[in-house]
Amino acid sequence: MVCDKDLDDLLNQAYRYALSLTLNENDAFDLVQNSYLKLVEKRKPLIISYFIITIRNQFIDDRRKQKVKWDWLSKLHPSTSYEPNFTVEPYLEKVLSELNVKEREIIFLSVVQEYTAQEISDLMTIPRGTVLSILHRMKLKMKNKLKEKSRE
Amino acid sequence: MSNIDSKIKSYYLSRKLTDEQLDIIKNTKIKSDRSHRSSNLSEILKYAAIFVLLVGTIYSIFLFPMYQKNALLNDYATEIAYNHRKNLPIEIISSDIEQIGAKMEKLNFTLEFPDSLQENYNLVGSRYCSVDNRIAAQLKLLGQNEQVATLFIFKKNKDLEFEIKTIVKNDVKVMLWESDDLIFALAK
Repeated sequence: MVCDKDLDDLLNQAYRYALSLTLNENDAFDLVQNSYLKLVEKRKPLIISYFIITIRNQFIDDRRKQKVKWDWLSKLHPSTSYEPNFTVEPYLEKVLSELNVKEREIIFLSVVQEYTAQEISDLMTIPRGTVLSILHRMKLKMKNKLKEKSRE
Repeated sequence: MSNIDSKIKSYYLSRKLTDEQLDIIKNTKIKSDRSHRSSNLSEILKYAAIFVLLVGTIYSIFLFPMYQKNALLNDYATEIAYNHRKNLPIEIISSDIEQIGAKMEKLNFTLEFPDSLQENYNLVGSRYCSVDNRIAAQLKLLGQNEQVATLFIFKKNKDLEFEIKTIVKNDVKVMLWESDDLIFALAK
């Protein structure tokens, strides 16, 4: 049984993870809502690890579907493009948006969720060495980018 | 924790769902509860279907063949009791089963007089008859108290197997048993 306060915290944690994938508040909200519905319907325990797996699978599915949709739309309106909805921390958001989804996800899981490299490797089915290497490179990259931005 | 880590962490921790969004998500539970009820119903239907299938399978594998076998033995007993009551005259008069067997050359099996009957019955003679449209030998026997009994012998169906069975039809007691590929039926 999850009490209301715990459930709010859990949904917010799930939302942050969804945000790390989508970089878009509305898309992140949709992902959390759909994943919550799936977990309740399947009577899965409401814990963050289930949320992460469900959100991840949902995101991959959505991206596949969206790719088809965007391919089709871009033929009709070549100028149509995706714009993230940035509101706070403009520098950091800008830097995060320059990373690809995989890099952002690894950074989030490691820094915010405090997953170990092995746990991230298991979840994303990529070698542990790759996780460590991406983490190292991305943190360095972000550090340098933030320095550059603050100088501007 | 490095400086960049704390920046990333505080950036993400500052992102939250609004109260309105939280309410919307939590209210989806009501819908899912409804779908639980419908999924419960579909679960019940699923188990009911499995149960019906199971009962059907048990019936077709065990009960139906048993029912068929009993019906067949019942038909045999009816026909045998009828033939016994007709008390038709014997065509071959002999108390020697081998002699009778030699004379009943139309039979598609070797005639035998079961050991279990030899003690209580004397063979008097025989005639041809049919049971279930199959050629049969009808042996007339005389019991120790002069009681007349008729022993019917005919070939059995390949897949018919049964324990010794007694059926009473029209006051005639018919005892059926099988041995090798033959069915024996003693009517008295």
